[in-house]
Amino acid sequence: MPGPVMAMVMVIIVETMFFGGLISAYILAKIAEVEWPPAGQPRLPFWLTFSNMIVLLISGILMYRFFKSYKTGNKSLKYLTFASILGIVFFLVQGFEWLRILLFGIKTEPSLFGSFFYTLIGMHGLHVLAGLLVIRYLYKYLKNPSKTEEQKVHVVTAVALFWYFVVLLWPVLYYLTYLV
Amino acid sequence: MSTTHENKGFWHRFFFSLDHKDIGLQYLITTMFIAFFAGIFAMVFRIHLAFPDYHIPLFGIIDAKEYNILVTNHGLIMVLWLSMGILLATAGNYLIPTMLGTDDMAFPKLNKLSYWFFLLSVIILIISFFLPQKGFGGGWTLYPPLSVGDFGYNTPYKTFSDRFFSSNTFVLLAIALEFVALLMGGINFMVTLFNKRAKGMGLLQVPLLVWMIVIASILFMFSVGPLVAGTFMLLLDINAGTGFYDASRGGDPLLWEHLFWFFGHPEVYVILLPGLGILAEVITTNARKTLFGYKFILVLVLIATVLSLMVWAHHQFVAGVDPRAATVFGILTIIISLPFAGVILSFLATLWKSNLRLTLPMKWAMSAIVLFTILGGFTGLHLGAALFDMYAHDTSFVVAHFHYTLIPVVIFAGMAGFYHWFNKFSGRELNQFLGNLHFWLTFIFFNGFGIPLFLLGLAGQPRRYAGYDHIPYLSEGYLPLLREIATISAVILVLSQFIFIFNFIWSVYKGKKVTSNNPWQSTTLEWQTSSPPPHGNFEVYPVVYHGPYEYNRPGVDKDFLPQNQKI
Repeated sequence: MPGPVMAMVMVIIVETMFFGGLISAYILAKIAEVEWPPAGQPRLPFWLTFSNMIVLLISGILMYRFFKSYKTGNKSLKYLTFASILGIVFFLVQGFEWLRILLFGIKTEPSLFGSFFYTLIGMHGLHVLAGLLVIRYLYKYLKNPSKTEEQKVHVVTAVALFWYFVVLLWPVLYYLTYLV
Repeated sequence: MSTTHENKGFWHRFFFSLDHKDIGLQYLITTMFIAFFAGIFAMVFRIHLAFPDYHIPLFGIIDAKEYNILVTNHGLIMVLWLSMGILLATAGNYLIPTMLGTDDMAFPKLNKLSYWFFLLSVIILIISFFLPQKGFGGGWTLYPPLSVGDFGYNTPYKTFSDRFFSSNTFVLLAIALEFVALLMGGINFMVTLFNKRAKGMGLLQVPLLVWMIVIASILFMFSVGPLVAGTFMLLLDINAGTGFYDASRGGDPLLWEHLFWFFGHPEVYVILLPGLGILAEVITTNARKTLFGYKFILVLVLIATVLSLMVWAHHQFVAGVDPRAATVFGILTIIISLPFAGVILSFLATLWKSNLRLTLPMKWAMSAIVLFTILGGFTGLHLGAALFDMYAHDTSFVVAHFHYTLIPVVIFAGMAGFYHWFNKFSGRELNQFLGNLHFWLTFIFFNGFGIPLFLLGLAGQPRRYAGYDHIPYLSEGYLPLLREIATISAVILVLSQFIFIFNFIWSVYKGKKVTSNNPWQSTTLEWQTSSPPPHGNFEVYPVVYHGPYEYNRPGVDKDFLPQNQKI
């Protein structure tokens, strides 16, 4: 396995264990409560977040298209640009949503439900932001003439892997916080 | 890679160099620096326990709060900074590329960044002593609610800046940064092993130490995530008013214990595996025999690695786990000793009927095996049984147990490695007389400190108490005497490390220059280059023809066959 890809796989393992820790803590807290979300807490907007999830999933598919075409020699960055634009849209919509609920939450006593919601969604948001910054770095890397084509393909693979992780994590968190 | 790297002066070498050897030495010096304080802390609170009225120089008579701060930081530094800093970071950085016969790590810049994060974590930890609380005192395991609030301190947290600029926050930040540093290091170790081996070196021709460090790093990566999540939640509890660990708001303090020990127990093996790797190198070199069961050891270690992720709750038998779960965790805990028994038996089989050379590193290595197995491992079996653990868990018995598992691995195996590779990285020889003095004082007084603690623990001496004067049964008979023996031994143990520090510094500048690049007549690749290795490690990159431990091979005129030499 090429170095950048192997390193990214290890990063993703660490991240998976990190979110595994948060999610298992969340599930344990949830089954200890009778009513979840507790009474008096804001209901979460279902449809807006659902459509936002679709946006992120499409972004993931576009990233896959970019990766496939780049590997087979098509150096166009079109799909990468579309993927990152959709990523930015997701980040902004989810960020405003998060802030809106946070501002509501500050007025009431912070509860365990709120704590978990802000932490899980906030942490995912930070990872989307990190993914976008990594894509920004990828643009720079691909324009660097001193790197070989092989190196570029490896870095594209690594960045795509991270983006898939961020994209595929969201449905899990969505299911856990918004649906059940 | 530029070769104009050398001779650029101290500042360049110790702050900006990308050379893995320089980074390894930076880790060594930083860890020794911080461990120096942890050793002093141990000395001070041990004196306080045995002689509560003694006025300790510089510290005076310490009170309960200061005692807590000293114990907490002693534990934190020794477990998180010294152990991993020496056995993973120093050994890994210095030895992995040289043993693999390559010029540097896979990602040298990431490696440099890793050290800077480590240094930053040490600085933040030191700052935590100068905040209003004068250090974090809630126990090295950071259990909430002790770690969340201002428990036991005179200055309650009122504002955000009070909470943020508190020792709690800074200690947690330091731990998080150190983990980031070690993750970057671990990724580097792994990619280097798989992608940058010398020509001809198969994966099963890699010296065992490299495998052990890489497996330990992978175990670290699998186990550290939940603790980072837990640390993050704890930081939010302190600073953002969330209630993850606050029982009054539906949170659960036990949650922290699970997240902590899910990392905390594998951490023991993260430390142990590189220690075993060092032992493998030192033992085969000095026994002049090939390692017994190289593949067998690798398989056993992989089994133990998987098992180690499933034993964490044995730290919580007293805190409260479901009795059915306690049985499962107890059984798994006892099973995990089997793979390690296999590894130790392989080492003993290597020693069997060998032409033993009782050199200084070998003395350290053999005493590491004896102490770790007999007093550390066997008492672990006792404690693995929940029934016994209930009685012994909060006594000095456990203190003695984990000192007998960690000190043989970190200090004895670590010193074996240090004395073994010193002439490689410095190009000079250590003073043998001071080395022997250091060894015997450490060996004798470590036991003088540990064995009384076992006896005291069985007599019911609780741990984490700031003094025993108010407990009548602990002031009777031979118990005060045992405490005094343990304390005096601990003080001499710490002081005798100054011999080592003196020997180290003196030998680096004034020691006899080495006459041979391979004084131990060893087979692995780091001995086949000059001492210290040049930038890029090798003048001519080696090609590997054999496994790592070809000693006394029939048909070879010398009793060792370096990996890069054809028959």
